[in-house]
Amino acid sequence: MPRCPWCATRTFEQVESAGRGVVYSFVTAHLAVSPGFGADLPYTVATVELDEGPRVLGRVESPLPLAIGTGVVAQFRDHPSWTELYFATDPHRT
Amino acid sequence: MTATVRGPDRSAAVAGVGFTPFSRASRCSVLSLAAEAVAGAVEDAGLRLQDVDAMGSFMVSDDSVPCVAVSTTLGTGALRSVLDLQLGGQAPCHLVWQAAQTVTRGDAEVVVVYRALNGRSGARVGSMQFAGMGGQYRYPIGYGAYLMYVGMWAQRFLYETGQGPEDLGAVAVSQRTYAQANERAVRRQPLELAEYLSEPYVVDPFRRSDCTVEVDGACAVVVTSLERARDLPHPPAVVASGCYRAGPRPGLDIGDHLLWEDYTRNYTSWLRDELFGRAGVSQEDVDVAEIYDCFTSTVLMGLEGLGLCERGESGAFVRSGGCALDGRLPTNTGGGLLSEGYLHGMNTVAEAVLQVQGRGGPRQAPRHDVVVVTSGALMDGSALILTTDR
Repeated sequence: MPRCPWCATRTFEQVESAGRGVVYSFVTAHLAVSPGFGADLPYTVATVELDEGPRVLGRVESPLPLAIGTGVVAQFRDHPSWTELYFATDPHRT
Repeated sequence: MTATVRGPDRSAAVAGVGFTPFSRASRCSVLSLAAEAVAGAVEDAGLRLQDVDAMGSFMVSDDSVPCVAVSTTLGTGALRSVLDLQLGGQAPCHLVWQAAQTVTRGDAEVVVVYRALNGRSGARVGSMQFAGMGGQYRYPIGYGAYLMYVGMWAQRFLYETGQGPEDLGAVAVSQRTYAQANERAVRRQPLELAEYLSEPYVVDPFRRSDCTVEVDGACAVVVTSLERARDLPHPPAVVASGCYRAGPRPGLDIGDHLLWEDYTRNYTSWLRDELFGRAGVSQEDVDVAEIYDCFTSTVLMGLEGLGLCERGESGAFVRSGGCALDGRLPTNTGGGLLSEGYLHGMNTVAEAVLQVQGRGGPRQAPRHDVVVVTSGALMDGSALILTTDR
């Protein structure tokens, strides 16, 4: 039975997140340094600290420049073979 | 001055350094580059290739050649110890420390440590995708370049410490000034802060001048016993202390930083006490610093992490000229990876050796008895303290 690559556990528990959090840090790409995403420029990737504790990575769609501490809320976007988690700024939290 | 950890009793030293030119296209194999730098270092140390009986090197995703290949090409002595590490810029200080201990144990007498790569014309680490599961949530969203990972840390570091673009820019400007006195450097045109600030972002918070230049090239250093080094042409650079450290949950690869608690403190914070304690020196004793600088932010984080500057004060220190040749702590005296070229920190170590030996020429620091050098940028890395033979 496979183990989690990050903590080696064999037992998984799904914890539902409300999908809200704040930007812990971010980068905004203005040049296509990560191959294959030139059409998306400029785009922002953030480390988001969810209200439940864990951090996740995701695109943040917001006016530039983004600020650390900005409240964000999870969104989902379907691609042909996967679903992307990204974030929008949270209108209920500044 | 707390020497709580025993070191190798200053019994090993770096005796020589070797380089190829750094270029955008070497037009030769990595093996050829490695051979040139290793042979150059051995000659510089006043030794013969037959004297070499151990080697160490590192590579990222097979971008270089193993020690036995270089030993074969050059016809070194029979190897008694070898270390081929699958590591990037975390490795150089670690390898020199391992070489020193190898010599101290008596496992070998002359160890060459090198890094060779066609880092510009061949495989480019900066945009490389790593095998394993670390990238599975990164690469699909366009988060797949080294400068993005370091930038993610830098943004938080600047925010928490109250520093900004002028502080990053001061690092780039300071090091470009040194590069003008270094013929090996690939970026030598003068840079002013206003010009830096007018550069567009590559990846916010980094502009072009915040980023190292990928190059083709090789660099090597020779480690032997202090006793033997005293009879060789150049003054010994005594290996007083070395340390590698990874903090908890360092990630599945260099871009996998989600489990790292604090993006404002890298490995330098973790190894500081052991590094200085083992050497029996304090931060105030340091004459020259060579801080790993794939990007400008890691210089600030390194100065603060090692305790050479107070938290949040490194930028002001650089802006006030503290890192210049006539400043309190000359730093990255060869122009660093930013201006000299990205040999993944092997050249950072070589510059530290040249400074200790007093061979810095027009960029020689006036005081150079204690030099600290680091390798690495994020979750793990290594460092050395080199001293004159006092």
